[in-house]
Amino acid sequence: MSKRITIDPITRLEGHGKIEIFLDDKGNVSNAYFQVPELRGFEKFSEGRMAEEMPRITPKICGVCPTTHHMCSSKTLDDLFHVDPPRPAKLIRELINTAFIYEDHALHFYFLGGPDFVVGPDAPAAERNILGVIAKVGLEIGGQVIDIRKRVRGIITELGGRVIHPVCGLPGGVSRGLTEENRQEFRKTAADSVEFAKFSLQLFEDVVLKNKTYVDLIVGDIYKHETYYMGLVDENNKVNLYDGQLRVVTPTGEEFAKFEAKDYLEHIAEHVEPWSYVKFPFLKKVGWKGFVDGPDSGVFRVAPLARLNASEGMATPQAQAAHDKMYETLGGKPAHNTLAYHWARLVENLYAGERMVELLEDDDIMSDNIRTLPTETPTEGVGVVEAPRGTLIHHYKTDERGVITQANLLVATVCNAAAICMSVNRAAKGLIKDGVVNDGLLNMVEMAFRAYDPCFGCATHSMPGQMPLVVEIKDSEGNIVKRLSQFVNG
Amino acid sequence: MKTLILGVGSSILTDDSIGLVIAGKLEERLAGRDDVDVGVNEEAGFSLLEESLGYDRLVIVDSILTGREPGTVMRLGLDGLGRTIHSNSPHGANLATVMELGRQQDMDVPDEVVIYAIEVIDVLTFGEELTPALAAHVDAIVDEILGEVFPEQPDSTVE
Repeated sequence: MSKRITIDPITRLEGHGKIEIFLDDKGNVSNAYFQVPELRGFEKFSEGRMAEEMPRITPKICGVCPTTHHMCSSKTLDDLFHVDPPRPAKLIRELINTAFIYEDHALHFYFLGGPDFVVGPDAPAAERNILGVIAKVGLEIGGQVIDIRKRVRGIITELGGRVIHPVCGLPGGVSRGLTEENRQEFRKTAADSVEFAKFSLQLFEDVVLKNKTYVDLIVGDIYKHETYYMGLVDENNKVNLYDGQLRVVTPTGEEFAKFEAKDYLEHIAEHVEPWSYVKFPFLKKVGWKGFVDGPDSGVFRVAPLARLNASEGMATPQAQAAHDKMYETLGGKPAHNTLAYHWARLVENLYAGERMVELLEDDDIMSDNIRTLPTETPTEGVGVVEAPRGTLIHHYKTDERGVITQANLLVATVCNAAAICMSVNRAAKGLIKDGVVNDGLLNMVEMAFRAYDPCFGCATHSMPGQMPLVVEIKDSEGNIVKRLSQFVNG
Repeated sequence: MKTLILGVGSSILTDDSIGLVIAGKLEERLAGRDDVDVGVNEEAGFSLLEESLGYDRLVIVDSILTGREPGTVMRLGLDGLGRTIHSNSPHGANLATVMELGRQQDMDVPDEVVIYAIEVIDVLTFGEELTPALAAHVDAIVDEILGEVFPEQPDSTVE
């Protein structure tokens, strides 16, 4: 008799969603689907508002990465009002965005992704968290994570005005600059962030890379897809998290496209499936061929590993060395190993630390010239930044008064949605055999999407009730045969 | 005993703002008292730990979806939630875990944590207003929470 399985809830995942795994009569996986509800009505909600409000509104969409929404929205206003911020303002914005990515990446490694490796993929769910990591690697690590996070967030709080929902971004620049006192303090923080990023990479090497089982998991076929990759690059095709052009490479690493964010609709289209609320972006010039990889499929990936794959390296020396070491181990570039997202995230973390040091060494960042006042009539604007979870694009149209008439957001996790579905499907098929389903195996299915650091629920803080993400295992007749509920209803 | 009441949620996702709305009402009702602070937090997770340091008691007001009647108030403790407060937690830094982490690090975390979870209807549609069926319960919810949190002096006007 065939079965269906439900994992319920998926731990350590922000937002709400559902994985359905269908088993055939022999108990093997016939298909797996990853579904998430979609937030509704953003377009209507935005219409009629002044464009200048958007950098303060859009961060409230997401309780996880409000800072990148603020930065992306501010850049969109630059384009909308046809104004180019002075270089010092760009440096300050980049510092804020880079600080946020640093903090977010560090949290992901120690709280979300790292426990799978440090504690173990089949360890009890209750131990696969930061407390389990601390139990394994020492109490002082917890203190270091808390300390560096607090200090890096201090940069965002000071320059952004508020830590959770920054208010500093304005069309044409920022609202305040740095004091000499800020600079001295931030320099120390940035230098320490580099050291902590190096420590995290060393921990990854000691715990993960020296464990053959883990390395086999990372390089194995269960967690692998040969897709296109997209990310922002600078003029030298090096990874840039704040600005530049979007570069897309093929599954074999050749440059496929390189374009300004304003041209994104020429390159990216969205596929709709009847079973999902989320639309699946794909490369228009390749076309949608289904949930398949390879050069003929328009599925592309974003976020840390994709950014590194889409680039020709890192713009800072220590991150470049870490980048080279990663690709040597993985057998060359591009790397298609989904679990290597964790490694790439740590390489980017080191880059973010080094980049903060560079930005703070640049004397221009102390300039009072932090805003170019807009003088032209607003029309249409597109902005892009790299969020921790991948490329984020905002697109607004206004009337001549600057009142929003149309708004569209392309968020990182949605860009990865097709790939996440494929990854879950492949992992489920590779891991669940002959009807044998246990918590360890299901966690390893979860690992397939956790590597992407997905964030679906955005701002919904609601307690899960019946759970934020349901994983159901169903037999061929649609009956649920497994549901791993960890939530105690109130 | 010093108490911190925090409303959590998003102010632009319809009923997800219920915690923020209730916190606003509680702030008015508790104005002038020096044994309680009231605030809002649209991020939650790890920042809840940082905000709550130095307080003896943390009271969180949040939304919940269980299929009960809209406006139903559920009193939850950390033990009951265990590690399952996903959506309160950027990156899985759920409340129970971050509080335990704080204790491990000898931080001055609250001795008592109480969560008031309010049954809501819609947290997926952009909007700055509560759904009418939930909004009708706001005053009653405020009274109920005040009565539980401060059973002796539920209102600043009583003092």
